Amino acid sequence: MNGERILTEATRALRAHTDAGWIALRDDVVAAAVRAFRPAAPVRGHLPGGELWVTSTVLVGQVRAALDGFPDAAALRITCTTTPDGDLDRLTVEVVALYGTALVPLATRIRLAAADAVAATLGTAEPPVARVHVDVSVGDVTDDPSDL
Amino acid sequence: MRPARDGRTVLGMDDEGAPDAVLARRAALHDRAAFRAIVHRHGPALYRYARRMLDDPEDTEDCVQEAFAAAWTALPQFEGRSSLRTWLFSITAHKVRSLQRRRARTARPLPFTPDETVDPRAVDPQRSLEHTDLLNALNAALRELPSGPRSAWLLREVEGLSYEEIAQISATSTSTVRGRLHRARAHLVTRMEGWR
Repeated sequence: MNGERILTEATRALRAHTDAGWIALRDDVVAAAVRAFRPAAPVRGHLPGGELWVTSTVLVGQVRAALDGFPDAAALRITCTTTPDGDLDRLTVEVVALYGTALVPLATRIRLAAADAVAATLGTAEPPVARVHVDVSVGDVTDDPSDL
Repeated sequence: MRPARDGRTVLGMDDEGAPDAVLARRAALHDRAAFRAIVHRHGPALYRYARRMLDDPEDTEDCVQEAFAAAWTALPQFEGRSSLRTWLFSITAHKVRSLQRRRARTARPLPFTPDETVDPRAVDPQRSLEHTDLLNALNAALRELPSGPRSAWLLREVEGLSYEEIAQISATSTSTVRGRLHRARAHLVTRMEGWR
């Protein structure tokens, strides 16, 4: 009986315990982990004096960041495809939308913001709305803003 | 925290308070702040588990580093079939088993190095000392257990995972998990009986 009581107390103590080793390690963990390789395709951009290559993960991150400020939608998945020459061919943005949001105007805003982000990332002077096909798909709807 | 397009702050979008599923989704889309929030939220538990499975601070560091690097790489494929927490424990448990196999091949000795000391800032140093002794006694009793029962007990009693989640993490059945828990608990009760 005494053993059970002590084990219960020790278990509770361990549950609330944070190892000193973790405190020392935690910031290094983040820095090291985000350097780990994520498979990605190269995407060609254009600069006045030549070409610029970025990985698809960087492009996806820039488009996601462009949508971060939307109060009524958030990106679920962003994918891009390239031509055999590495030019961006098509961007697909799947979003979760807040219940009650008018979806057609939302899709237009997302398409413009995504095209702006692509233009800024790939160095094109004008947002390539005409050249780059941006598909918007509403994959989910939520009435909880914390899901965005 | 996400700034809205009109300059307002979007309430409830604080990364530290966001649900796991939202953080996982954002981190999959290359959001480093969301990944940092995941690390800060789940790191203490993953480290606590790995530390007691591996009994060695350096191996624990390697294990947790590798687990989070693997998580960062694999997050775009995370589909949410299990909770983020269970998924992270699965990755960590896999790394633990790899390190244990590697260590078995090189036959390294395993002295448990307690890294807990009395907190000098504690209001009641006597109480802090007892607390540290209690944790050290539990760590020593855990070290005597085979890996399977030790893992099952830590995941169930300390981390609060279900039998099904533990079975998934351990790549075994729930009946095996039950057996391991029974064995672990019987051993720990006996060993803690002798404390003080």
